[in-house]
Amino acid sequence: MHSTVCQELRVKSWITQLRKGLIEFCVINVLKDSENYGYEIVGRLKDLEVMDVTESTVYPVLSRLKGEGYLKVRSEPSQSGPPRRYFSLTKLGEQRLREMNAYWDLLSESIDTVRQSEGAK
Amino acid sequence: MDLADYEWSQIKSYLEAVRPRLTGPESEETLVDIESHIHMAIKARLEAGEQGNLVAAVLAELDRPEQYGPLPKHPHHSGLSLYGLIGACLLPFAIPVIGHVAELTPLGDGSPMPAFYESDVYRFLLLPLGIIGPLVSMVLGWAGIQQCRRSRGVVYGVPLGVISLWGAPLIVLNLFGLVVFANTSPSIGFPIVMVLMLLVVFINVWVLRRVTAGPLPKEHFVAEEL
Repeated sequence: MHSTVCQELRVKSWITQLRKGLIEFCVINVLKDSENYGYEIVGRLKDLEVMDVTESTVYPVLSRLKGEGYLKVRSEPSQSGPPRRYFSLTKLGEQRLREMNAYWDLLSESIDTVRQSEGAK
Repeated sequence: MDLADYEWSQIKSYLEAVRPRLTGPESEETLVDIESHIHMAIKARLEAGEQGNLVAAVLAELDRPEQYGPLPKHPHHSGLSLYGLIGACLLPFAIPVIGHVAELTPLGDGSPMPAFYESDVYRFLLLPLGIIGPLVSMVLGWAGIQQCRRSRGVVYGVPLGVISLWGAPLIVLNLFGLVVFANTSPSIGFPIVMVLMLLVVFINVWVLRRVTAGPLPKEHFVAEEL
């Protein structure tokens, strides 16, 4: 019983870490075609239930990516509340998107190969 | 969308609880995004025909402030910014060097160079200090201003930081302006000199206004309507 609980906790922890690493990847991909504001980005990522994304994970990532030069921001006055901030990819962000997507394809392909070969044994 | 005072207070309380848990130079912008998110969520509920205290409903749906991260273990020490203070203290070291430069330019009275500027104390101690001091002062002034801003009111002394940052460039600028002004005859290039002098005055006034301006209110970016 105890070991089963420990095992579950370990898997949960692994999933949490994996999700954390993927949020940035997802945010950049959400912005690949057009600019979006925070509420919209959070909404789109919330639709990916498996990612379990909330605003407390997305907004700090958006700010960090902006600070690192991957995103740029355009402010537009809003009828209610503060100005709405639209995020879009910079040239550096587009380059990062290409690199991340290329690596993701490579990674998923390699992992599939390993999984399939393990299944065949 | 008109919100009642208590609804604005609810939003403000939530944001104030999140604020200390955000880290990094972009934390104020993150807060603006969260505030905007709240308003968008309220608007979406209104458009869906919901009634009642929508602010409370939206806030209940949001992440708890703890989920934004832990509170900082070592908050900023309160009091005057040491960077700004030390920076301002370094500025007077520039005075002997300014005097020396003035002697070397048309601003001098034409009398022989005082022996003081030939002395070892000046050449090996005061001169290097007078050159390095203002440069270090600029760096410390900038650091002081950043420290005050990031502490959100806990550390004060922005005017000292501004003096440290701009003191040396301002002295050089004014000296340069005076030299040019003293060395230009009214007939040659006078309009350019006047424009230059106006620019010097404008920069002086701008820095003075920065020094005398009060600190930014804590809620500068958040819930300005309150």
